[in-house]
Amino acid sequence: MSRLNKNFVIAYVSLVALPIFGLVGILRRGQNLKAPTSVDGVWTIQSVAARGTRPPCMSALGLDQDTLLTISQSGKNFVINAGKIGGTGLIEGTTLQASLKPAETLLPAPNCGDDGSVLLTATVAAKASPRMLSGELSLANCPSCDSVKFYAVAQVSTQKKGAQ
Amino acid sequence: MLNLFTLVLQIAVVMVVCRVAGTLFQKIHQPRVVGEMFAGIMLGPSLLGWVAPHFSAYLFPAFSLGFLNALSQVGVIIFMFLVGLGINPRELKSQGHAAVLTSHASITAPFVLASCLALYLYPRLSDDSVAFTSFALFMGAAMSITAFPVLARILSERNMLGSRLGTVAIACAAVDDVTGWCILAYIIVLIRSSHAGTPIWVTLGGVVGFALLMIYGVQRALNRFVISFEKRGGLSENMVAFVLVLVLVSALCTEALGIHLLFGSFLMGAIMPKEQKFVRYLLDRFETVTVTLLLPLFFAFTGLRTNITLVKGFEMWLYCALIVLVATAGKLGGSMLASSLAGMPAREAAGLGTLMNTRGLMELVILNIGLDIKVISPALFSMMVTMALITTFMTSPVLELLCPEEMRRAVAPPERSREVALKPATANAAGN
Repeated sequence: MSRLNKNFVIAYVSLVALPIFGLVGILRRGQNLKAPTSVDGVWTIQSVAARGTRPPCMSALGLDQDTLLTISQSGKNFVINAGKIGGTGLIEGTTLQASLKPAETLLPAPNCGDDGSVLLTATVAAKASPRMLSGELSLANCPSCDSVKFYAVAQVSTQKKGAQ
Repeated sequence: MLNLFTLVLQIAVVMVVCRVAGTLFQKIHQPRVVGEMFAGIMLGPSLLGWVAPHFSAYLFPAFSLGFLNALSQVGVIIFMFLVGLGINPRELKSQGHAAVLTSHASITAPFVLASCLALYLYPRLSDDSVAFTSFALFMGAAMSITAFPVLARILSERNMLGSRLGTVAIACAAVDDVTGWCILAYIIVLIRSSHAGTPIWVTLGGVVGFALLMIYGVQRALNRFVISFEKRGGLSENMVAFVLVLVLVSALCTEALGIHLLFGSFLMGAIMPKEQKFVRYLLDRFETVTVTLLLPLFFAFTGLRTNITLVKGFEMWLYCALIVLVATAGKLGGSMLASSLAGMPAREAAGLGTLMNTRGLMELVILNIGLDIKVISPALFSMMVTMALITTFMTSPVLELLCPEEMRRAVAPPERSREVALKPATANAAGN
């Protein structure tokens, strides 16, 4: 083998072959990593307090039975839209917390807090099939308003994760 | 329901904004395509949606995005065919050890570094519905890609296509693109198989079988196009339409096999005869509508999916900076180190590394696939788009800084210069 070829082989092994072995190690190590629980997708609200029994401040938010709740997740952060409200939140373990605001056109009723912000706290049952989300919605800065309990079920999308 | 008024208005606005941005970027010595990429981002929620949400909602209502996407995907299918058409395997063979080492190292270095970064980003920007292996491999593939057409355009604009640096860069970029797409195909097979319940070897076997059929069967038949072209001095409209149909059928085959439409169109382009005049003829026929009409729609659609406001807070911007740093260190550093070891002078090696760090449009294509198959999250998508813009934008100024004029123009051996004489046309195809 000429010197040039020998140098090429050494350079090729150190710059190409060895890193590929390293990649195998990285992929193995990554198997043990835990990413946040997935809540991404479209959920259907299955149960929410009936309109009559709901605090008046909550009635205008458009959160009824069968309302779609859309969550777009990036790690622990997510963007959530439901009915006429939307906002951002965080997931820790299986607990979601989000702060949602009504659309601009939806002014908060008098005595319904400063800006009609809604707090969402929910827990995801990730292992259930389909996944379930249960929790409550409460108006921020409105101590007189009771919270509303709800649960939602993940839509089984025809476009599953990983498919196109 | 299709609202034709909205769609036509969108097309008109997108075309105007892309043309204006492209022209402005050309004035600052950037390829037009970089300006068009920026224009796409400006039309999305990162700028227009943020500054004028009502106008943005009127111009791009949610229901209309499906049609915009469909049109843009047709553009990308033809674009990938043109990219494949521009790749000539004979060029790769003629480059020798230096190019082989540089091209392979310019894939493995960013790939491995990106996978290391994936160890850090996976728990922070992904979720448990995505397997780490898919996430890491995708990050690797996305970071190791080089925008072959944009690179060709940059080289063409600087009269570097016949230079030693230019020829090696083109050959390496072609190898990187082919390899990157093969890896991406594998990732898609991996993800889709796990969901569809089809054993991975069945899908892989189908894909390999199709590729072999195309290379050893269809490729020979395609020579008839050249015979007809040489006889008549051109192709009839029916023949041109037939070429387009073949591209679409090939795209449909790879989609049906479980990978993606784009692989089929790329493969069809890659196996097309490489006679210089024939290639230039096809490029002339297809590139005008693709480059001026359909690709801007793709940039706009990508921009509409890119939401920089998702990257908020110090921590998120730190992730973004890390992505840019790792992508640059892997691609620029890896290529530079390999070409230095292969005997290239240090400054020239740095120039080659800078050229290889150009990601451009190819990166956007890959990232859109990643977002579609949900292997990356919307925030990570926005960070990666930012990385693609920065690494593409920095190519021209850094190249001028690192490589003096005479080095950039150093001429390659004559046989190589002849081989790449074709490139200006290829460059127009997508580097516009």
